[in-house]
This record gives sequence, C-alpha cells and structure tokens, in this order.
Amino acid sequence: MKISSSEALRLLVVLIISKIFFWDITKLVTVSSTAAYIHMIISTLLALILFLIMMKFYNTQDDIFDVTKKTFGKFVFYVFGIFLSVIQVMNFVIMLKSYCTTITTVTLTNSSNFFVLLFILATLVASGYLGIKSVIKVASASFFVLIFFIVILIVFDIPNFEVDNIFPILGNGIDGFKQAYKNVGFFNELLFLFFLIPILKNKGDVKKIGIKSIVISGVIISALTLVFTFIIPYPVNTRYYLPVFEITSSVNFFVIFQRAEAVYLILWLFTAFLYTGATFCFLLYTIKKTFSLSDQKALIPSLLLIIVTLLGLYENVNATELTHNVLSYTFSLLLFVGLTMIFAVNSYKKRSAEK
Amino acid sequence: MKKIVLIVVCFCFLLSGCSKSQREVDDYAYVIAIGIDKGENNNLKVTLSFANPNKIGGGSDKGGGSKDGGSENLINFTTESSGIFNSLNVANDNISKVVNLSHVKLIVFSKEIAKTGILKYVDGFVRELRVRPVTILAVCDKEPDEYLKKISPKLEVNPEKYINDLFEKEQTTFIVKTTLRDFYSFANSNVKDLCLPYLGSNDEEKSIEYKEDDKEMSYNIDDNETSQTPKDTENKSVVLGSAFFKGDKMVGTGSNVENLYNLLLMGKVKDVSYSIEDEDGFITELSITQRMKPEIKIDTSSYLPKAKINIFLEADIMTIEDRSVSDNEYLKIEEKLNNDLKKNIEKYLDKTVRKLKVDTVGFGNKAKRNFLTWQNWEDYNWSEKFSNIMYEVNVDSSVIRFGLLNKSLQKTSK
Repeated sequence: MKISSSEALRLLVVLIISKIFFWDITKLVTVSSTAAYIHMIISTLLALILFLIMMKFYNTQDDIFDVTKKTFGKFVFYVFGIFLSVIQVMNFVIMLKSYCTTITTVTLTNSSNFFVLLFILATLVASGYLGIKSVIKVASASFFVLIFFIVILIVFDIPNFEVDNIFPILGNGIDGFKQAYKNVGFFNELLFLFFLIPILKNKGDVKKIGIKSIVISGVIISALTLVFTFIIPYPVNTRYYLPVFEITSSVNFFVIFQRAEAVYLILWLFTAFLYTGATFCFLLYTIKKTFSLSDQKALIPSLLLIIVTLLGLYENVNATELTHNVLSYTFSLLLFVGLTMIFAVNSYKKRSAEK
Repeated sequence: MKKIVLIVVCFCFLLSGCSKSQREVDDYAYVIAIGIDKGENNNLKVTLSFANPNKIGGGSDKGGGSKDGGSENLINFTTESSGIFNSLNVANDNISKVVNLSHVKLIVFSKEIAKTGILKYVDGFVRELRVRPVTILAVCDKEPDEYLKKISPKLEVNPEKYINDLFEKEQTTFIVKTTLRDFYSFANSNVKDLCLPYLGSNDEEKSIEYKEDDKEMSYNIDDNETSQTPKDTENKSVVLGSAFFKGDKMVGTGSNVENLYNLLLMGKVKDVSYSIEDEDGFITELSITQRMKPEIKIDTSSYLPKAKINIFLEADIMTIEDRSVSDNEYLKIEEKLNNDLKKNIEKYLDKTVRKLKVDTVGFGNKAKRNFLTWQNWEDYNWSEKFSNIMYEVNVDSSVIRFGLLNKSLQKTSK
C-alpha cells in the first residue's frame, strides 16, 4: 500500500511543528526579542533555499540509503548508516525526556515521568509492529485536528493581543537575524522525507512535498511566535518555559472559554504520540537498511530497552540542552549539506555514466 | 494483533481509576482569595479565603444554600509562615480537605508589603501552575485578612462570581484591573507602570496618607469630596481607589475618580456618568463612551519627549438643569465637557508623571515605536527622561443623544 503525497506532507508538518510545544519559541525570542517572528520567517526562507539547492541535484527515485550505497560504496554506506542510527537514537532519547517532563509539568504533576513513559512506550510498540504506514494514516487525520485547535487558540487569544509588544519592529536588529541560520534545525525532520520515497505513490512529488511542508510549518511556527509576542511583552517572555502553554492559559473569552489549558494537552497528546511513533519507525528503518535485515520487528524490544536505559543519563531537561543543541546542528548539517553532497555526487556519477 | 492492541487500549482506560492521587471534586477546599501581610519575626501572614460549599450550594430549604449571600459563603484561614506556599502545608494539616488554588480570583497585599515590593510573591504565583494568570491583584488599606472577613456579597451566592464580576464587568468606572500576568510583565520594564485596586472597608477611618492625597488633588465636583465610595452598605468591603506602582513597589494612592482619567487615557471608558457644572452652578450629568482608542503620539526627536494626546468621546445627556438643548445649547455643553476633562486629565498626569513618576498610561509603550531596535530604545534612556515629558491633551467630545426629553422641566414659583 503506497501513501499519497498529501499524506506524506501532513506527516512532515506534524513532525516539524511538534517542537513548538517545548521552549524553541523562547529561544527565538531570546535571540531576536520583539522580532522573533521575523527571525522565524528568515529561518524558513533559508531552509527553503537550502532545500531547493538540494533538489537541484536530486534526480533519483531511491531512498537515501540506496543512493548512498550506489554512490559511495558499502563502506561509506555502513559508516553513514551507523552514524545516522546513533544520532537518531540520541535525538529520540532527548525528545522522549522532553515530552515526559513537559507533560508532568502541566498535568499529572503528582505522577513520575516513568508513568507517562509507559504510555509512550506502548505507542512505540504499536507503531513498530503496525509500521510507518499506519502512523502516516493517523497523522494524516490528526493534522486537521491540530490545525483546527491552533487556529481556535489564536482566535480566542485576539482580545489579549497588545500590538505595542512588537515594537521596536526589528527587535535586536541584524545581530539577531544573523543567527537565523542556526534555526534551520526547526526543519530537520525533512530528512525523513527521503526515507518515505519507496512507499510514495508519486515519487516525482518529493520536491513539492518538501517545499509545501517547509512553507506550512514555517507559517504555523511564525504565527505562534507572533501571537506569543503579542500576548507577553519582551523581555519577560524570555523567561517562560512553555510558550504555547502560556498562550493557552491566556484565553479568557467570555464566560464560556476560560480555561484552555486542555487544548495544550490535546495538542501535546497528538504530537507526542505521532512524533515518537513516527521517529521510532524511521529509526527501525535506518537500522534495517544499514544492516540489511529482513525483519525490523525483532529489533523493537531491545531498542526500547536501550532507549529507556539511555534516558537515565539525563536528570532533567536542562541536562539535555547541550546534547540537544549538538544533535540539532548535526542533523541540520547532515540534511542540508550532507544530503546535498550525496545527491550532487550521485548526479555527477549518473551523468558521467550516461556520457 | 488487532485484538491485542484493543485489549491494551482498554486496559489503559481502566488504569486511570487506579491512581492513588485520584480525588473527587468535593475532596478539595477551593481558595477564592489570598491575603498577604507582614507577620511577626519577618514571617508572612497569609489568609486563605475558602468558598464554603455548604452555603453556596443548594437552593431548597433542606439544602445548606445561603440564598441571601453573606460572609458565611467564605471561610477565612490565617496562618503565619516563612512563605506563601508553606502556609498551604499548615492549611492542609488543619482542614479535612486538600487545598486547591485553581479557583483563586483575588490576591490582596497589605500596604506595608506593597511598599517594599511584591515581585517575589508574584513570581511564585506565576510559576505555580494552578493559579491562573488572569487572577486579580490588589492592595489593601489595612490588613488583608480584615478586608477578606468583610467581604459579604448580598446579590450573589457564589463569592468567586462576586469577585469576578466586581473587577471584570464592563460597567466599572473606578476600578482598575491588573492581572498577575500584567504585573509580572510590566513590573520590571520601563515601558509602563501599573496601578492596582486599593481596597478597604467603609466602616473604618481611611489611613492618614490617603487623606493627605485628598487635600492636594481636587479635581471637580466628582472628586474626593464625594469620595465615590458607598456611604452605607451591608457589604463593608469597598474599593477606595487605586494604588500606583513604580516597578513592583507602591509609591502612592489615588482616588476613585482619578482612575476614570486613567481609563480615558487608555481608551477603556464605556457608558460612564460624568457631571459638569457651569458658571451659574447648574449641573449637567452626561454618559460618556469611547468608541475608539485615544491617539497618543510621542515625539522622541528632541532630548525631552513630547506627548500629544487626542481623546475622542461620545456623550449622552442624562440630566440637565433648567436649560433647553434644542437650540445648539449642546455645543456649550461639549465645550464645557472638553475643557473640564482636559484640565482634570492634565492634573492627573501632573500627579502621576511629575510627582509620582509613574507611567500608568503606557507612554513608554508608544514611545518605543519610534525606535528600530531594542538597543536604540535602551540608549534613549526613557526612564530618566519620562518624568519631564511635555504633554498636550485635547478632548473632542460629541453630544450624540439627548434622551427622551428635549427641554428640562421649568421650575414654577409658588
């Protein structure tokens, strides 16, 4: 069963916007103050340009593993696959830690992180056994629910908007915008687009899917950043741990809608389970392709055990910050530089072979 | 496989009933208001006002509902401890239910605490998940626990609704509303200063400091001579005026009528009565509304900033003494209203900007529009220059409606 281009697009958008439920928006505000939304728009445009450059060299219908193997041979392929597996595992551990900690901050405050982890592990087992196609179908339906709640949130927060909060209009100025290249990491999940190629119905739509996912997720993240700036002025808004939670708790719309924190919980639930489920499936796929395994389901129990053990490395989310930053830059380099090089060499070799 | 997944999912739903910390709604004691005062030995005296569900609920003779409202609807619990949240431990140890802060509507600080700074307490409340960011903050003339004891709403049974409606209804003229988040956002900024409601009771003498304020600032017939507080009421808790804050410290108080001028400058006046007196001593009562926000332009091109404020109002004539309004008399009323408001607003700004050096209007917020970057704004050093700002106030009112009468009833001599 193949998946359509729109289903792949919706999965990628859900994966990319899942970060907004953490403190990434606060980081944007810290760098660019009142112009954080402009910073995000610049990061989106940068990511789009880098993706278009990558697509200039892309002329294959294989996934990234097959392309690497054909282009560079087995040794480089093994190095690439192992490296990708390791950084995916570490990234997964950090995202899992972040999800468990944020949800026990805003609800289930008396519960331990392990209690929440059990539910996520159950999702991972189900996703691993059912496969990425099932996750994509769920993500495809959830996308509309997510967009609906985000729009509702923004609309209900309009009475709390203070337009003066976006002045001075350029925030921290050019110094802030110069650092926009660091935030192309928001779109790291584009890497998984090149994992989905074998199961896409129309393999020629890769470029379109990539461009649309960057634009749609860029618009959503920029809009939420702008809303956060409207509601809470700089410099106080740099102190908030969960910006989207603050947006939901500001809702005070007549007598009926006074407590919208549950909206944050719904959005968290959808993105947490979809993000962890999908990235776990991609991790299994990476290991399966790297080591040419026939059955990836056998990996599930041992991989979960490794991940839960590695969770013990970090006491709290603050301890994950350094690793998270390193991994984010590594993924960005791999996606926008590494893949571009791979496709460029592949394209050059194909043309040489044709000649 | 599908059956296994279905069983696991059903099992997850059943798990939710096994939680050790699961509680019913009536296992909680809901705090409606918190009072914070200085205790002995550097401790804090914290008063928790709990909603009394036995008096709020029910409407039948058999039920415990107190249909007439009253102070029985709130139960006050006062403790002394080193911190606000430590006092919850004392409360939890001494009452049968678990203290729940998710319905806190009002946090009242004593004047002594307000003068030393309240940001550290506000920080704790903002950090706390259960206290909502739209909780109202206020300052009390005397002890907050005395004020909270005096709250006895007569027209509502639910005390949370009383506090909510008192501070949040649109018809409020003299009550300023500052939420927890507003205070936390602006207490450390130089773009705006805040004023909080100044609460007290009308069966006590007002403090001396407040009285000195009265003598200095006399606006007009709507000023402190009439005080704008109830003369006699069964519910002894009243709003006395507003407390002005510079950063997180209280620097002065204002009368109720001053808040009207503050609201006019912020564009939040809706259907408020205002009286003007002409040279002959005749009083005209008008209902004024702002349909659009005032235009406030700050010029920062010179060393000292200049503010030009244009306020637009609509007015309806409510009562008029011995005068007809049919033959352009209303133009004189408009002129009188404009001049009266202009004079009083400038007097209010003289007090807040020059004397107390507080920016309750948010001139800073408007001024930073003139700068491209945050560094440029900080280099301008607004905090130093603000108290010398030159302001020009213009009021443009239009009498729109005259009610159902054209001429007033002429007095006949006996």
